[in-house]
Amino acid sequence: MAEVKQPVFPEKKILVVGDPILGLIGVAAGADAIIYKDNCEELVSELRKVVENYNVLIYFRNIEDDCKSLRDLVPLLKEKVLTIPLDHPKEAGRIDVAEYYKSLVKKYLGISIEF
Amino acid sequence: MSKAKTSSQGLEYVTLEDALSMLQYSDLANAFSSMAEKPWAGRVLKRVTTATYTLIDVQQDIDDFFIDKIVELLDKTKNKEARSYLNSMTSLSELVNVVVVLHNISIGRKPVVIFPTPLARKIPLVKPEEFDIDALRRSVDKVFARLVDRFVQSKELSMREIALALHRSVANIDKVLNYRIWRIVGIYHDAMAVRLCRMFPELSKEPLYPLIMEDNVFREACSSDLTELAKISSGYRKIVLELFDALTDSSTILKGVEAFDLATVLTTMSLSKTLTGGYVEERVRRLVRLMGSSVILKLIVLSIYTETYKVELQRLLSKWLK
Repeated sequence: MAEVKQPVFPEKKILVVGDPILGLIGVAAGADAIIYKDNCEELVSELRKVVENYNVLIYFRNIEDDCKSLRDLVPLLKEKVLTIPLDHPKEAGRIDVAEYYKSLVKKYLGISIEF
Repeated sequence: MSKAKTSSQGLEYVTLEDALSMLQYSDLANAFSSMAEKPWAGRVLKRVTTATYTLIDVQQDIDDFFIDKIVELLDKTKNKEARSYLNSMTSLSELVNVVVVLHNISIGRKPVVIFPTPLARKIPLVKPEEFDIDALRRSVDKVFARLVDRFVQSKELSMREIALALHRSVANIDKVLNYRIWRIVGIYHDAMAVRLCRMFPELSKEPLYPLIMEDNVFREACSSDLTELAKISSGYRKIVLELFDALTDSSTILKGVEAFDLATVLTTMSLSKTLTGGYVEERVRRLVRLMGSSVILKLIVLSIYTETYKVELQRLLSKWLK
């Protein structure tokens, strides 16, 4: 089920869309998060509703692969927010997954985390 | 400079706005006049405003324009990885056309003048009465030269050579190197394989290896009624279900393998939107859009010319071309 968490630091205006790990990291860093679990249409309708509240959208690129409605929505999203598509660690090749998440968080959310 | 280049490239495609605008007209002259600034409109516009013409003339003009653009894209793509993907897609597209040409010869029918898939390279430039198998052999992709050779020797299509040509077309595609492109080439390969095994049921006896479809769904797609296939909405990978969804929509306008061809184009065009990263993906996306534009434009022409299925086509394009 898509769920928009209440912003901890409203001024950040970042929305993260991804798996539970990315969502958790996003929320810990003060962003809002929507967890994607094959709920394509629900995600898209939620995004349509809330995207105006944000200025950055970080999402896993693989969601677009299976979710045609998101694919169709992305051009509109790009007009409204800065969109940052990320490769899912599964696709990023032979990498240390924890390090991968750490580097994403540092790069896009500006904080250091330890697992 | 780069902005100007991008915008001129954009003009090569048929957009949803173009399509919907053209479908408002009831004749081809006005429909193409309204698109006069588009490069793809020029040849057709000249034909429909200066002389009598047939539907086939117009469709061939469209084929010629997009084939030229695709050949130009191939010529300008020097990057090895990008070339490899483009070659796979064009080989698969051309394979179906070559097989259709050879099949027609084997049953004593004239070679076709309009091809089922968007790329026929030099084949459509040969008039049926001037058709020469040696010339065909020289002009086709080397991936299936053996298929033509075997045909010349035995005067019949070799199912084994068709299966091998399908494999050879995707032999250099690496799943790990670019997963997203692999998916598009993969579904295109599977769709072409389904199309061919629907044409020739005996092809199913050859070893065929779908890249995306599960083996059971592939076999089902080869043998079952397409309308039944279109009803499937769960149980398979999403990319396959998307193809079936496109098939449902295509079936409102076209029937049989033609509906399947259209569904294949719509699916690959939609999937190509996921290609946004860098030169290689941009090249593949461009090829898919050029191939798709050719099919869409021919469909629009057919609809206007025959004054049929306008509403259905508007609905279909609004869903798949946005």
